[in-house]
Amino acid sequence: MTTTSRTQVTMNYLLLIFVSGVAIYPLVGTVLASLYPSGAGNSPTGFALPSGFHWGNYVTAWKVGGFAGSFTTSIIVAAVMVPASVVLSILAGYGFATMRFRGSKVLFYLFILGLIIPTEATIVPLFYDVRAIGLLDTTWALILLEVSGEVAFGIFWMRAAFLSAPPSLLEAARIDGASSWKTLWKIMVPFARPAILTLTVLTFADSWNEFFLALVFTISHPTAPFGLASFSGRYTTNIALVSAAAVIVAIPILIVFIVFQREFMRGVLTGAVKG
Amino acid sequence: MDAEPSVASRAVAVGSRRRPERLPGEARRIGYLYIAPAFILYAAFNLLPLGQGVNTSFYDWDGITPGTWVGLHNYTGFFTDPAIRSGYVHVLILMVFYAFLPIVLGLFLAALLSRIRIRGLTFFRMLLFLPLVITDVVTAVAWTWVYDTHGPLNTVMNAVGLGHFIPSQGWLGDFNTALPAVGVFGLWGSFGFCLILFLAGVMKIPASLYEAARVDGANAVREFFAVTLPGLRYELQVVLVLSVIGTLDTFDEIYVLTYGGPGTATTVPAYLVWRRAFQSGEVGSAAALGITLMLIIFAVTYAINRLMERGAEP
Amino acid sequence: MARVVFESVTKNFGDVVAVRDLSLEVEDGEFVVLVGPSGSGKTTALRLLAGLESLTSGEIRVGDRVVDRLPPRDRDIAMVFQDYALYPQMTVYQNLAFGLKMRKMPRDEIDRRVRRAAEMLDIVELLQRKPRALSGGQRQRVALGRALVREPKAFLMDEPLSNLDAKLRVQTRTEIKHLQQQVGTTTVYVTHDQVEAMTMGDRVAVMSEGVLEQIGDPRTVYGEPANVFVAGFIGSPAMSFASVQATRNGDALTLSRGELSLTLGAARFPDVPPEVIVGVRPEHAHLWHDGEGLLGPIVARTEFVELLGRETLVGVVTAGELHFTVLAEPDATTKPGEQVRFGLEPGHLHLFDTATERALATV
Repeated sequence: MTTTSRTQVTMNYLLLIFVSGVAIYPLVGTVLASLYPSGAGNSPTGFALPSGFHWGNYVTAWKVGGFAGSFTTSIIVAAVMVPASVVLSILAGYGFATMRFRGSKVLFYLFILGLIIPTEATIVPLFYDVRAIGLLDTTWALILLEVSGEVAFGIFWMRAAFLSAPPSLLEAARIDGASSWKTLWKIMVPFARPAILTLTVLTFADSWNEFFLALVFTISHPTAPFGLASFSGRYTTNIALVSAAAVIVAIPILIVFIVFQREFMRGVLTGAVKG
Repeated sequence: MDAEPSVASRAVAVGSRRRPERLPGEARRIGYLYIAPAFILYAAFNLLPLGQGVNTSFYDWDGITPGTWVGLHNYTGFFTDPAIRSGYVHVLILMVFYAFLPIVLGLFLAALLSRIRIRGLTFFRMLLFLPLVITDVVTAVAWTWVYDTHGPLNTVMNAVGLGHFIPSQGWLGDFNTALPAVGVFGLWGSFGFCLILFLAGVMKIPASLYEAARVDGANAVREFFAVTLPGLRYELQVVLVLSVIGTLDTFDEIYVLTYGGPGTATTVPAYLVWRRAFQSGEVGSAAALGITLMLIIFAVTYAINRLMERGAEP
Repeated sequence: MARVVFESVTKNFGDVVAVRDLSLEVEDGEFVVLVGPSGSGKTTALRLLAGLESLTSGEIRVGDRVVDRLPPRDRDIAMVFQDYALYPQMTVYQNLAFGLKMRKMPRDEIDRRVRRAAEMLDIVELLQRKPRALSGGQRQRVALGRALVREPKAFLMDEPLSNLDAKLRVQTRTEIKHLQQQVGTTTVYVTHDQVEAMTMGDRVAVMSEGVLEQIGDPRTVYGEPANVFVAGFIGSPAMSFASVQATRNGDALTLSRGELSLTLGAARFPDVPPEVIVGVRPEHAHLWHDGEGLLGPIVARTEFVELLGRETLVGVVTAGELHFTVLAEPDATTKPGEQVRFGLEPGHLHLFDTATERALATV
């Protein structure tokens, strides 16, 4: 890097700070807003502190918004969906990466197709299919749909991860007498642990943030985002209360993000290879 | 695993040229077993419905009573139905905010910031990433506050004397400002991602290229077009594809911010699909809409990739 | 009996013939080195033996059992890879034990074998470490250990030394050879380094473009190369070659090109065609001193001089554009561009057929 003047460096940092500030301002503002007294017309301006910190809004939002229920639903969905999706992706990614079989290329491209098939194209028939098998308005529907939607990326990701293993590693395992199953779980999975962790984290985020599917398929026991959307629709004018609800819904994913931010970065930056 | 004595192992593996070669002793079908669970699920809930969707799109159906065959009629709606047309127009407008602006700004800023060594980059990255990571519904709710009558945007505008520009129905309620308001939300959301991706890409450009350019007498602007931009071609491609597809797919924030309103000012194709399928009983049309959307996404992805790859040849 | 036999083995990759009709027998306990440049098929041959590739035609036997349809695990062979292929998430102990565990060996037997191999290789203190905490040399020993513990019918080694630095390579060379002699396991060893081949092999198999050019003990392959390729590949610095005319005059044979003319007399020569390729190793070409029984003198101009300490290499070119490498005394004082005279030792001129490049005679 050439020598740049102190002012230039300072300006650049200021710019960076400004931009980052803009990025988080709405979120920070929402937290602040949630502490305002509840009630319509009590809108925080974003530039003044509330008269007092009304933590009670959170309790109210939690109760009235029924978040105990929607959180449970979201957690159940994620708890089943994430391991299922990751395991299926590991299995298929392994198959594609290490095995030769007829039509493997075609099958792989079929999965890649799934990366660009939008949910909107399949939502209509899915609705009627799900209803036909009696799973409408159940968490199972959501789980199944999310998993099937997620495996496209997961397979792509795990296949790439397994392909990055030196071929001699697999050959040594073959000579040592390991079956493909043992090779997968005892050698390849430990080898690909960072990739698997990244996939898990990204899959969790996708599951927690999923809204459209939840909207269509789990009306009576909504997930957290859906619960928030309904809540916000009912109490539009009560900014403080709605903000509290939003913060509540944001917390789990925020925590996951902070703890696993390295994996997130890695996943989004390298995984954006799908283009 | 068989171990037949192989006098006959002059097996010039008949047809081995067509089949992928099998290693000695390898179970032939095992690959299928590993693929199967994922594929079954995928085929059942993605591929099959796709086919069914195509089928449904040829009918005029309200979801309850039997539908009537209308052939490609639903697809002509792309040209004739004003709601659909305006939906795509809206998406095109949104693309300016969701794709074009973030990319331009991101490129510009990345170029600026690349000249210095940034400390605490991880921290800034985390902040810039937040809009992308946090649930869309949550961030949309946050922005309803930003646009609120007494919210920060209006407070600022009043403070600087631009108060008379504030629409009376609120930013999200006014016919003219609703769509741009959604757009600004999208800009806010995409920008951090673009910046991070471009910054990462810029750091991969070898310093020697910049030095060579400088020796050749290039100023900052020329450097940008001669070194930075080409060096970011890959990232540009990725961001372009992701943001354009992302815009075509937009749903969550429309639902939360405007319900497609006021009127149809912010209706986008994805929202139309939902509305027609689940609210107004135009299921066949919704199916066609979904299929069309998918085809457009395919075409756009393909076009962008071809364009960017062709630009790779100097 | 743990002989390894290749019988007319051919391997095609699409249109490319990687191994062409290879027939080779390795005796029980023998250490055979497959040597050749890249693309010679040596690694492919090893992989065919290991079961990592399937044959196009032919047969491979390990210990009198035909193995070409068997997966690697059933062939009773063990392999040492060029990049060691150690399982990165396992300790050294687990790496060594893995193959035995897969064969459902009882735990105490596994432990016994692992410890014994670790002692033989002097890696006992490393047993609890993971591969990334080991040096290159240490990893290489673990790779060897993994093969040792299996007590297989044959060891297969794929250029195990090429990732080591030069000094370590020489040291490890001897160690591997000793180890093999201690354990007595039939070994097939692949390398591109002819020095390794010559120093380690009981027999050396020289391969080129999928074909086995010659197999024999080092002395034979060195002194009696079967063709131009083997002659030029084995031995460093390499043999010098020149295309010359061969004419007979009664009992004498004259090799000439331009003003170069060497007459060898009073010996029995086979019939040689009028055009031959003559090859001479540098150690059989000397700067001219009278009275030493050399053929010559041959007038030439020095092209390059390489001081190797113990000796000096002098590259010369005759007026007829024939190039020779001459091994001179360490104190040789010729300089590039100077005229020199040199001579060749009789009895060490290898004659090869111009068309087939096969050896005709040594005169």
